[in-house]
Amino acid sequence: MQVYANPTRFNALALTVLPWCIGATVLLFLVGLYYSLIVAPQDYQQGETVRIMFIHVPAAWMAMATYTVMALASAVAIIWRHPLADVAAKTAAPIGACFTFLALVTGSLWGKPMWGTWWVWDARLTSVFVLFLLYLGYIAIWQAIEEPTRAARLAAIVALVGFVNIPIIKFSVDWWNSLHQPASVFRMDGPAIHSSILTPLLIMALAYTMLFLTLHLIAMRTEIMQRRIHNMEQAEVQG
Amino acid sequence: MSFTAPHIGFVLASYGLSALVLVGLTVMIVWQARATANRLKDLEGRAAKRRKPAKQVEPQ
Repeated sequence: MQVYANPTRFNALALTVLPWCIGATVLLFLVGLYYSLIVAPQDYQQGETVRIMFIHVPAAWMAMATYTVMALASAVAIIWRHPLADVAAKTAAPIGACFTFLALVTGSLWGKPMWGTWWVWDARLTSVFVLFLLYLGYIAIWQAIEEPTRAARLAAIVALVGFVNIPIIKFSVDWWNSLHQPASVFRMDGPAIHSSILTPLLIMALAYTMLFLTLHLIAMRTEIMQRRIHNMEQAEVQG
Repeated sequence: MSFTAPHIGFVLASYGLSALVLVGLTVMIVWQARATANRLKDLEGRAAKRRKPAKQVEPQ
């Protein structure tokens, strides 16, 4: 991994991988949407609204996965001062914030017809809302502090402290009473969903994962270029 | 998918909003990447020009 700590090597690797990532993302979305909107049957209780699950659940998974990536990258940045670690953490945040926003809004749009309410302050919904605020806070730190080293350090601490929220989100439905259903895919005794619903869900989850990977690679390359521009401008000013 | 099913508006709104946000995010990231690459190219061009040694004037 240390080989790719060099931004130039990372850029070369990203350029090689990106076309494959873009292709896989487009293909997975096409197949996933075909399965989600056409192949998957209506649910006997929820009717057509079950289709919201195919975009809500992957968004929620990616909201947590992206934060985990951010926290891991922040830990690496603090412990090993890996040159790309804070670039990875910083550029993951806006993508994660979008996934979290989508998880909250599509959840609300699913909740209204199924629960009869747009929102309840129960443990799962509240902890995901806290995750959204953590993303916004993390982005705000990078925007507010001009000195990049200080911003990186403070943002990394916030990301690591906020990581405590991830297991809370995951287990909130087991620890507290909630309107939200308990885990039905990642369970000790296997998924509790029929394969006709599970297949599109997993394809869409893969599509969201590939989209994250693609956007993250592009955003990391951009951030590396921006840092280079910053250094060149500084050198120009200093003559 | 039946477009006459009850609550279909919620399904369409969810898919529409997700598409809007994800396409918007993609466009923003790609646009930023292009703008940054152009800016870097411009700066590198200027830096290369500065590094070029000044043309020596032939003695008359």
